[in-house]
Amino acid sequence: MALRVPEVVWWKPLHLVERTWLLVSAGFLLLLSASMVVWHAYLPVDNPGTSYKVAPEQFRAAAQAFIAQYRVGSEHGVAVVRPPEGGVAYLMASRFQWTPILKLKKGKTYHIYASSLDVNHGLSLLGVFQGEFSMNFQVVPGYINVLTVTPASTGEFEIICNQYCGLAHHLMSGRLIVTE
Amino acid sequence: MASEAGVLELGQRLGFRSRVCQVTGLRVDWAAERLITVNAVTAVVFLLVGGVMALFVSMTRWPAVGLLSGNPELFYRFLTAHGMNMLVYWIIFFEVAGLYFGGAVPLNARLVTPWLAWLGYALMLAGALLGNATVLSGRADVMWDAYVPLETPPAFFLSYIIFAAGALVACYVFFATVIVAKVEGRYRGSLPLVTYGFATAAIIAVVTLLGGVFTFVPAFFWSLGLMHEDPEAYRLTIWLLGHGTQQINLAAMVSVWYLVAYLAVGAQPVSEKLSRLAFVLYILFINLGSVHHLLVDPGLSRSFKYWNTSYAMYAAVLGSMIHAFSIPAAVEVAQRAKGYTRGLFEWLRKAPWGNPAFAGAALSLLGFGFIGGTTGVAFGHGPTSILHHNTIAIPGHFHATVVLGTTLAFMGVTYYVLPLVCRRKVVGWRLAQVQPYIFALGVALLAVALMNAGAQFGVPRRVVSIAYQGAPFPVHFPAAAYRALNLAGVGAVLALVGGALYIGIAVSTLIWGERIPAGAGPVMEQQAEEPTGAEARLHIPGTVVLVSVFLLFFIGVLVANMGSLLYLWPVH
Ligand code: HEM
Ligand SMILES: [Cu+2]
Ligand SMILES: [Cu+2]
Repeated sequence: MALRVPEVVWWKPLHLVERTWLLVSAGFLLLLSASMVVWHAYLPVDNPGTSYKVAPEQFRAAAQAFIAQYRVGSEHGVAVVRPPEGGVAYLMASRFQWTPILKLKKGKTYHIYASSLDVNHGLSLLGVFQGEFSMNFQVVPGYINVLTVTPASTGEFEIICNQYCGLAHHLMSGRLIVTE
Repeated sequence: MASEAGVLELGQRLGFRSRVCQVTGLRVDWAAERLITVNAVTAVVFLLVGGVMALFVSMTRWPAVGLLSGNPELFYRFLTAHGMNMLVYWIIFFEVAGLYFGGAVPLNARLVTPWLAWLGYALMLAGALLGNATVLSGRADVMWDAYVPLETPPAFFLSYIIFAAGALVACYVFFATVIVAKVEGRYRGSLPLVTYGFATAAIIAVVTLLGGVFTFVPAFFWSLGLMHEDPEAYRLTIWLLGHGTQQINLAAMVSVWYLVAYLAVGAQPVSEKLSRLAFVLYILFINLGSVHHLLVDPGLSRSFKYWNTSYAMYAAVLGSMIHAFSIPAAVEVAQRAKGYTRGLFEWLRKAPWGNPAFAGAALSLLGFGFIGGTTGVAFGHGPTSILHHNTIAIPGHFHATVVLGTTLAFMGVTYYVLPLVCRRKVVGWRLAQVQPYIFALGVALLAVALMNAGAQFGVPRRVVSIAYQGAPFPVHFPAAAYRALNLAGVGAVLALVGGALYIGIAVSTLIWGERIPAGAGPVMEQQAEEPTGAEARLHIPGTVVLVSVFLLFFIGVLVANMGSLLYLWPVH
């Protein structure tokens, strides 16, 4: 009885249905745990697992050196940068912009170093598959989140911030360009 | 039946003032009764505040309405207040009421040190008032989680510290009550399951609130400029707290399910052992499994993320799978014993669906199970967080857990608390009968539509509008994303109506409800039957079908989520 003191001996063997459900549930959840290993070993999408500590000032300096070196133009005052294939690309979040605009090649792998100069931001890359589905990562000041990414489609992709970062958070947008 | 004077006298001989409940035959300590009532009423007041905020927030995020789209500052302020009043004040005040109920009433016990309980109440109230004053005066437009280093005044963190101190005092009073009841011999043997469930909630609460100390005390000193605070360390500790509190809600909600199933149809756990094992799993594993909030964060290794979210979290999920089985099983056994034995589901069709307490608990169980629980596991599984992190799918998910689940269960049990504890006849019974249905339908629609908008289109959470007017680079969400948000708006209206009905009924009952004299007969339309004896052979074909459907649905949700990952660019 849920509301009353149970009979003295309530430690009784389980009924068959109960045992079955317990085993089925446990088996299902074990499979689910195991599937994480499978994801990790065989599938191309995985959580970021590499990061570095960095002082925001240091990160800004490194990002600016990177921008100066690989800059190919600018849009709305934001530098457009073509990083080397297979190399490192910096992406800097600050209230309320994403700098620079990265210009990547489809099918090539890049190590995007994402960090923030001020507060937490949310890197949200929109419409990666026919205008649908987004890819989202946390951007934390003091840490470089290393995102090893291989663009799979071409076009101009919209980037927004989806971690509340201040009163103009809903105006924080950027671009990522992928070419053949 | 004992006269009132007789009851009084009996209570005095036992050493505390009490009365005997006419429905359950349990003795209700007067101090406990007042504390239960005051904490529950305070909870409802904060539900009202949070509900007014919900009105502004949801009508702003409904693109066709866009109520505050011209005033982002107010939107962020109200969203901060919505989160705090709902997730923290409404839920925790109600849980404290639940703790005092579960600690004293089922044990025939007195509430130990009522003055401490009042102190706890005063601290919680002070914290809640300071929190609201800080936020609503415009000094902390930072969201309830105020991620360091977002500029946040010390008063904001201080309000949480004071509130948490009060909640810790309440947990202490609960444990003291249970222990003293044992010492004084008020009950023998093991704790009743409802008390056991609330004890689970209280144990998790203590661990969690200590996590709160590690979060907010450093943050408080940081905001005074006296200490350095690492932003990622803050995120880690606040989610130890933030996720832990969700498990308090879970344990309290499940206890309420057992309680209502007993009161409404006389259901008793089929196996005390299994149900208790499930609660123990919550205690042991739940606080370990809090890293699913940080799966796409820097600063944590991948193996830690996986270890934490798989093995640790799934052991706790197993607890929920057990309850998902054992509660319908208990109801089916009780109903079949009453003669509802035809076919697979006569027991379910003939359940007291017109009893709002039962309807609330049952819809809470279904909604939490099918929508909230499955998506919670799916979103926290492996890399699926990449698809959902900080999108509006996340509020979609947790409105299916903490609103459709916990809040609706608490609303349901209120329809017993009013007559049995406050001894008032529920005003507007007909409205009360439909209230859980309206609320459940609204929240379910809201939750599913938000999950669709976030998962499929990446619509962000916590933005005043998705038009990006005036942004340096324009952002275009597809028409289907707007359709999903509009649907969520319709769901929000229904949910708000359901919530307003609940508050209206509860408050009118307390003010105008006919007093039920002690010694009166039945107060509810459906009364608890005498509990049935456990059967030797367990015959629950309906439950077996239900849980099998549930498992298939669960697998479907997981497959759909993992399948969506194949659309993403390769990343690690
Ligand atoms: C009564 C109807 C309710 C409606 C219509 C509603 C609506 C919403 C909406 C649309 C959001 C998302 C806003 C955004 O991210 O931009 C939201 C956020 C939230 N809601 Fe509700 N809600 C309701 C009740 C509740 C209840 C009862 C609780 C808790 C028990 C709750 C807890 C929260 C929390 C914690 C957030 C997140 C706030 C944040 O992002 O900081 N809501 N609500
Ligand atoms: Cu931002
Ligand atoms: Cu932002």
